[in-house]
Amino acid sequence: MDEKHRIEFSDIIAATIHDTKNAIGMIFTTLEEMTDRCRERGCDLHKDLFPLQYEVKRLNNSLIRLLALYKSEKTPMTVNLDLHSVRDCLEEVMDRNEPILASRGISVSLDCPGDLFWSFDKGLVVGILDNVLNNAYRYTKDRLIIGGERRDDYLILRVEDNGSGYPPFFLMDGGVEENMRTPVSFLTGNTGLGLYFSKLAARSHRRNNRNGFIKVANDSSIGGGIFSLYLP
Amino acid sequence: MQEATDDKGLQWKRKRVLVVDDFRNFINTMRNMLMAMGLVSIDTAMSGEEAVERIVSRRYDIVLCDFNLGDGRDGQQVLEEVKYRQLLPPLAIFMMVTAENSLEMVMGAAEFQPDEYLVKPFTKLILEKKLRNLIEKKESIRAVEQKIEALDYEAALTICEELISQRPKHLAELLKIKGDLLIKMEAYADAEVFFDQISTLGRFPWAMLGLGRIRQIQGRYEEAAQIYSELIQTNDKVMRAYDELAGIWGKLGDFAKAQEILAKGVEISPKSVRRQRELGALAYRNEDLGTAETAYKRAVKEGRFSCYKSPSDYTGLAKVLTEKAAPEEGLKVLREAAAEFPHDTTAAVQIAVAKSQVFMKMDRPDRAKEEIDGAMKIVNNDPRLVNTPSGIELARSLLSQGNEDLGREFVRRIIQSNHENQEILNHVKEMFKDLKREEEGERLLETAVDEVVGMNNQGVLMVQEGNLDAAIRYFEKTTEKLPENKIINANAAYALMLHLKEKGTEPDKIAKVRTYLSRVHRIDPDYADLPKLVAIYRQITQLSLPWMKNIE
Repeated sequence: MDEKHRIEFSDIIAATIHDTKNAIGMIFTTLEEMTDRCRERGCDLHKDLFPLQYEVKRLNNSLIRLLALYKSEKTPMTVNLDLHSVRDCLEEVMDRNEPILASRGISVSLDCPGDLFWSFDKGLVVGILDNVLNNAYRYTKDRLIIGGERRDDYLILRVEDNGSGYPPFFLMDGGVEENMRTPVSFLTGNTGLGLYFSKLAARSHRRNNRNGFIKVANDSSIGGGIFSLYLP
Repeated sequence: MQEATDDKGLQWKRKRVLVVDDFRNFINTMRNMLMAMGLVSIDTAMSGEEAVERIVSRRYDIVLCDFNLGDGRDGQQVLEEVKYRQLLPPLAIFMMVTAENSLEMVMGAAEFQPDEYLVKPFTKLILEKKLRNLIEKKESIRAVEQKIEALDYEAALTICEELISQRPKHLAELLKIKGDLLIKMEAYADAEVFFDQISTLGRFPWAMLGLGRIRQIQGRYEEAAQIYSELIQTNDKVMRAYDELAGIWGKLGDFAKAQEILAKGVEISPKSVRRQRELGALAYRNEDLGTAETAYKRAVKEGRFSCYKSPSDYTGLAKVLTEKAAPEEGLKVLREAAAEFPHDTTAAVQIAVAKSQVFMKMDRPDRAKEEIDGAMKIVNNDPRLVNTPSGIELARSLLSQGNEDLGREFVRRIIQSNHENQEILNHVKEMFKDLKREEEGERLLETAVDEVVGMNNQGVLMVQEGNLDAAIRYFEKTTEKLPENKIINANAAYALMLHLKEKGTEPDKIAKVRTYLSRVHRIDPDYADLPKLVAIYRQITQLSLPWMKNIE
């Protein structure tokens, strides 16, 4: 085949991911139905289905991120700004994870005033926090706080846990010089993809010459890790 | 949770839902979810066509529609048709269901936005929360929407501002409504301050579009262009920005630039019939026949399932083909057009005129004349056709085919029906310019406009002198002569209402007022004086007008 007609390998991968992701979406929906029916009939099996659903969702999120990154290589990330109720968005993040978290006995509390409004891309921001919350499920002991506040003309959204904290190579102080790459480790199962995507999405929010950024630290008020998303 | 929300009066269980998807499996899943939420009235449709049929025949509160519906109409086209034809109740919810990978494409194509995009996969909890949230949002703007529908903008604004001061969850929605209201009320100075303030919170597309609108109204085109360009730079999916920007370059006479912008827009959102048509027209004007042909062909193709299909897609294509020395093909396209718009008199006139123009190019003046005679017959039976683009095209054909008297008389009718519509007057001017009869056009325009202004002033003077009976008789006669002139109709209604105010209600006169006001609304629903006239009408009759929807 001559050069001109060859499809780029990355495009083939992207198409395959699309397909895989849609199939996983179907599995997720079916699993949810099965879990629901199980619970209704008082059958104990539904407890085993939750972890399964959790892994499927994680897989689905990874693929979505992968596609978003693939797209962002081709064209700059589109930021769809609007004015949002911060609390409303945080509630949506909680709702997305509530069944799975509840199944492990993790309690989530929300700390955000009702009259806080900010300008951001809701899809991107909810996606970032959804991912963080989804991870916290594995690392926290039994508590999570999800919060929003305004400080120094930034909106700060945070997820706190009471687990044993993030590993050292994960920590980030949000500095401008921060290396965009995070080490990939197949040993720990961490590809760093989520974090990389979060950084990109945070940075694509720009206002009055300031960009968004993220911080990862271990000084949570409840004793574990804390992830913060700063939006100008 | 459920009880508490229902106490707010949301009447959750009574909501009627329509689920649209071409997969039986998904419909079942969705139905199970909805039933588990306590909803009982759930209908389904498996294609876009079926969805529209159902929405026409039954009043739904919620439509959950998948974007991908196989062959035929897609979800976006269902949404557009439903909004365009106003098939759903004003506060109904339309939710578009999509797979993540098509979300961007879907949003890019959006002329009308759904209330929410629901991305697969989703859980029952998410669906329920989103639905309840949307219902709550619609409830929160109900009082404002009622006033807007009744054209009582002052009251709507008061309620809107009162709600905004409470900083409710759906603040952004109320701010958007306020911006729209200020523009509708022509309170441009206030609107400017408002949008400026909003843009300090963030450069939201809706606020930037609002600001751009104001700049255009103020005639500050360069600044408007800059706003739209900036918007496209930060979010290249805001399709309206392309349209507005192209429009500005067109107004400034830079049609090459206008075409360039629109071509970019079409690249991002190729499914928009209107944008393709517009690009076709611009490219034709720029003598870029290749682009024009492609664009018009795409418009025809995408128009098959769209409420935005127009005979102009076909007549435009026919013109291009004729220009490319393929007039037979042009005629073929026009025959297809006739089949596509069987009972549409406006279309019939437009198609006949286009045919006639093709025949002229083919050097067959007899056939050309036949078509024009046919078109004239239709127009004489339906005066409303004067106000359509085909009216000017018909005049052009009459004049260029040597039908002088009829042509000039017809142009006069167009001008006098639209003596305050600068856009149409410009089209007329341009037509004369094309025909190389610019000076003659200017003269005709001036005398025709002067004559209507004189006619109108005479009636207004009678009103001012308190000679109401004479004014009423005078305007009645004048509306018979110029039934499609909105100002004459508005003044006829006004004179009658002054009389009614003095002498008390008389059913036959009220009926006449209704006719005049309905005409004004049909000709120009955004006419600035209409809200004031409607307010007087309501004061006298305590009634609403036929076109107004009842938001209970």
